[in-house]
Amino acid sequence: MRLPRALLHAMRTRRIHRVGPTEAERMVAGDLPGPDLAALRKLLDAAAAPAAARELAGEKAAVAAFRAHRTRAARAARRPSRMRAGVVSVAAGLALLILGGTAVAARTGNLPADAQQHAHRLFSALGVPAPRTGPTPSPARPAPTSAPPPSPSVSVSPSLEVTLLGWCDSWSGSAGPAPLDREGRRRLASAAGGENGIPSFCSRLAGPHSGSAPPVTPSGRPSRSMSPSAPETGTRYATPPVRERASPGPAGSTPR
Amino acid sequence: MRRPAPTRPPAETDLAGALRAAQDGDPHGFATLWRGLQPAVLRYLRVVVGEPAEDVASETWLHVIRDLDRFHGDLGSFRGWLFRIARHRALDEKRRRASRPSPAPALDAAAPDAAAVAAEQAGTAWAVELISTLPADQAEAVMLRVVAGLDVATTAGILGKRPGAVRVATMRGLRRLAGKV
Repeated sequence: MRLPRALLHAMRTRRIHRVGPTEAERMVAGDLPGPDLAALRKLLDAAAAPAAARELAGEKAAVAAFRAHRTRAARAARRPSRMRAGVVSVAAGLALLILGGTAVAARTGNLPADAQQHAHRLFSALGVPAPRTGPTPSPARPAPTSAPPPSPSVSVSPSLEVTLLGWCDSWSGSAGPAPLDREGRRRLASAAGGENGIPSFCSRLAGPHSGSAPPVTPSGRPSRSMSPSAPETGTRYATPPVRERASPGPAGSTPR
Repeated sequence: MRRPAPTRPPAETDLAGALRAAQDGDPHGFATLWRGLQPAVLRYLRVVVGEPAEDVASETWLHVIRDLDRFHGDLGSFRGWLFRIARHRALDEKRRRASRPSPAPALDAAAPDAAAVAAEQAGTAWAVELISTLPADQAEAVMLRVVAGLDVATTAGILGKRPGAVRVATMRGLRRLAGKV
């Protein structure tokens, strides 16, 4: 059965014109302003329907990325305290050198009389017998400023590293059954310098950080006997681990 | 913590609690938040960027994960923040694609349970597909307001428009859709 073209046109026009400002806002709010908008209602309800299982397939990878980032953030937050410890060590070492130098000078009587007197007062106050090259059992030598940083050999930006960790998880299957998709695999391979490089790349990336082990002082560095008790838990979320990219700020900032 | 994939969306109060938990570093809270908002993000991105919507959604969440401790606000502003990031990522992706030849189309479509997936998602996929045929500003306004559930002011902020323009774009989009169904 065919309706005349003019009638079809009239129906369509009438229906279209029923969506005015009021109807539109009511439709957005989930209402049905009129029976002739039932089909549109159905469309919008379908668009906003509850999640299909397929849409939630990436949950494990997302949560794995969340965990990985939290681990990294906690580690990054510890870095400043290490740096503070380093500064303290350097300062202490410097002070000892100066003090030691003064002590030597004082012992050999090379200081002016006033200074000599001052030095004696100072040293006796400290309970240190004036002449000795090492006035106290040294708690810390000057910090090894040339020591290599205890970072993994894979140098990538932290945010990328989180992404890569997620891909590595997906790739190795530890993130669950969700496999790494083609694009992810391609990007991972290019980061690893080829498909063959993925295993070692991922293990290098995850290796130094894997597990939730407590902070370990890297071997080869002097123990931090002088390090102030670091407020690690307090700074854990205080320091954003990455800020290399301008991001759309939290609510309120103007976009673009 | 193996749970069946829920099809029921978490309630708003659940999500508000989940947001706070996620900000405290709780992976379960983050998982709830993700489940509650990922579908809308994915559908919105499908309209804006098309095929790579899932990749862009992943990038969006990575960004959220990275900056979550710097976010301060309630669930409503979190939604706005989330979709703002999604939009930025989508525009980045469009720029990337414009600057390089498109790769061969993916073959993942032939999943084993394709039929079941198709049946399950037919309605939603059809609706999102139809909305994506609208002019971009109307399509985005409809998706952000109807699917993401954002208010006019938040949508206007994300799209960089005045609230009045968002209302008009929404109305025109709905009017056009009414003519298509």
